[in-house]
Amino acid sequence: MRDTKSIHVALLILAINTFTFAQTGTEIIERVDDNTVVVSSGYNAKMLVSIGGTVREKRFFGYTEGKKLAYMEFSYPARDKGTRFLKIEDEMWMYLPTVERATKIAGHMLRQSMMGSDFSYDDIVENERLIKLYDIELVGTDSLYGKECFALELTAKVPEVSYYFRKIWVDKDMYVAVKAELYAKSGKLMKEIAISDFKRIGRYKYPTSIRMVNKLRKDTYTELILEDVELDIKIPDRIFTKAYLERK
Amino acid sequence: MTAVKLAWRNVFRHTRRTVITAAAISVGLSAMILMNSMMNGVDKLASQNIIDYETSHLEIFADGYYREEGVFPLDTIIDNPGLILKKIEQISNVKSVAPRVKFQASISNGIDELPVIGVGVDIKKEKEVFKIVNSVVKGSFLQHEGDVLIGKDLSRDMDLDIGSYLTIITKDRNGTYNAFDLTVSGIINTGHPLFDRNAALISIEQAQELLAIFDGVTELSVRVRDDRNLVRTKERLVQAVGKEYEVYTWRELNAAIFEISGFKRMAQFMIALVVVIIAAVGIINTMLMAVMERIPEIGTLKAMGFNNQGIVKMFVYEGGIIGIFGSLLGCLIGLLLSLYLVHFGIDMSAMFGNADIVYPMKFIIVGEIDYWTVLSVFLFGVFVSVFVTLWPVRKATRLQPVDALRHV
Repeated sequence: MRDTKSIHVALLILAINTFTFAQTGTEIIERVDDNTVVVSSGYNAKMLVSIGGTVREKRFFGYTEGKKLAYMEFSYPARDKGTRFLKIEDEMWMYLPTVERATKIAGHMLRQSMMGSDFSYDDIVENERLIKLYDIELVGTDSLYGKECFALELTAKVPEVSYYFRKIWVDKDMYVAVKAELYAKSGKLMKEIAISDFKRIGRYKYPTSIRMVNKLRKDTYTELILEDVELDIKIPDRIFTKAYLERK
Repeated sequence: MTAVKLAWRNVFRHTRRTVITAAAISVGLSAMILMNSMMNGVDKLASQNIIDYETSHLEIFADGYYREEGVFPLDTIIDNPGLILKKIEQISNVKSVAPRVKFQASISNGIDELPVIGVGVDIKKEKEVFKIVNSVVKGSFLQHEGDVLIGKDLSRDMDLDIGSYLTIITKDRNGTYNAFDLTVSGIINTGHPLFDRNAALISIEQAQELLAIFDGVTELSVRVRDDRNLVRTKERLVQAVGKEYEVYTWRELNAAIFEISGFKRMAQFMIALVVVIIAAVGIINTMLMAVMERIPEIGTLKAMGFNNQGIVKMFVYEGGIIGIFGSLLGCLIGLLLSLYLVHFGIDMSAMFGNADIVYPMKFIIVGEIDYWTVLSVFLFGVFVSVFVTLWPVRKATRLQPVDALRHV
């Protein structure tokens, strides 16, 4: 009898344990989204584009609203000054001061590098929450940059995704993604993203230092550093319009 | 006969003047012939390149596919080419049909990424329609899954050789990234910039997998037995395949290029015409001088009973003889220069830079002589020479023998 009782107790403890700790991959990603998906943001940013050891700095500022609306304007260097981008849902426009007209970035242009960086326009246009696009599986834990992390594997469950397969590592304490690998349908690793710094703002832990590596090129990386981040601020609607993009 | 004899003698009274006048015509006409040979050569080579490598004689797309050159949509493709393949092959003038899959892609050699046009080819059918197989200058044509053929310029730019690995990257029909590692099996040299510099050829099965289009193809290229009546063959194809497809001749697909070529011909003809007009002014001048200095002679001839008709004939023949000399010389020089072009060609790439990106050939111009043009240019030269003589001659016919004889 006592044996059965202790087994019962053991089972109960196990059950509680499972209940508390066995989160699914989807739950983990949801918690990450809670930490990082903001209502709106405004920021200044520095982009360090490194190609073959030469680092070039570019500066821009921008606003976002949800994942659907974004505006960016380059201010440095002089050559790029005044170059603006507008994203509305999954469409993107670019304004070059020399052309004085906005052009839509569509189709295969989206694959191209943005301002010579390791980011493609695709990487910026993407606006759907991961849980809607992917089956998420928790495959284990990993130690990464001295932090304990959940290792997650995401496989596309709808056809319309840029990357068919992703691996994401999520910091166990902070519930933020610290690393991601993006794969083509054939299984080829295409991009690697590492997030090394976060800023606690209100209830968010907002990534402020992002390093993107295009694995199809050699000796390149792009580091994106966000400064003066303001979250959940009121952004005038007119900013996310083509008229504002093309303003003189 | 007297008039001809007189004209002949008159021509050689001032040999130097005659030679200079004739030479002016020669320069104009030889320029016309040379330019014509150059344009013919350019057009012929461009046409050949398009037919042999790019489109063949006729192309069939799904309805709504063809919007403009250089756009390769994947939303309107021929999903099941088997449905119409039989119908196409049954048309008597059709020699063979090859499916292709064209798509926008980029290739990476592990260091750099470069945009290219991906071309999926049917390994068996390809050689029945296109000449890519014959243009392999190193290595071999596609043989296994995972092989890729690239042009010699691309191989140089990307530092790739036989056996090198490259990655081809594209987005499939759904917009999902897909990338394959491939081995360079062969290097081609076609003379068509698209294929030498800008394309990566893989097997059609691999392209279909890469793009997630199953058995779909973007186009069916048709080579015909007799290309003299393409429009009729096109009509028969349109009837055979029905409204869900569209059919184009290679000329229609490259209308822009031939429009450019037409403008160029026009411009070059104008330049040559100006030269000829200058030469014509030279003839007028010469003949006018001849009339002026021979006024006493004309008076004498008229006094001796030579009528106006005879005088006109004499001068017209004289102009004609100069014209024939000049035109003959011009045609000869034009032909010799053209022959040089035909046999050796001239490298204009330094002059045109990267203009071959829009024109489907490299700017090594090889001439192509059209003998009918040479003949008509010759006749044109003689006609102009005779025609412009008429005005000075009018002066001669109006002379009164008495006044003319008194003239010193």
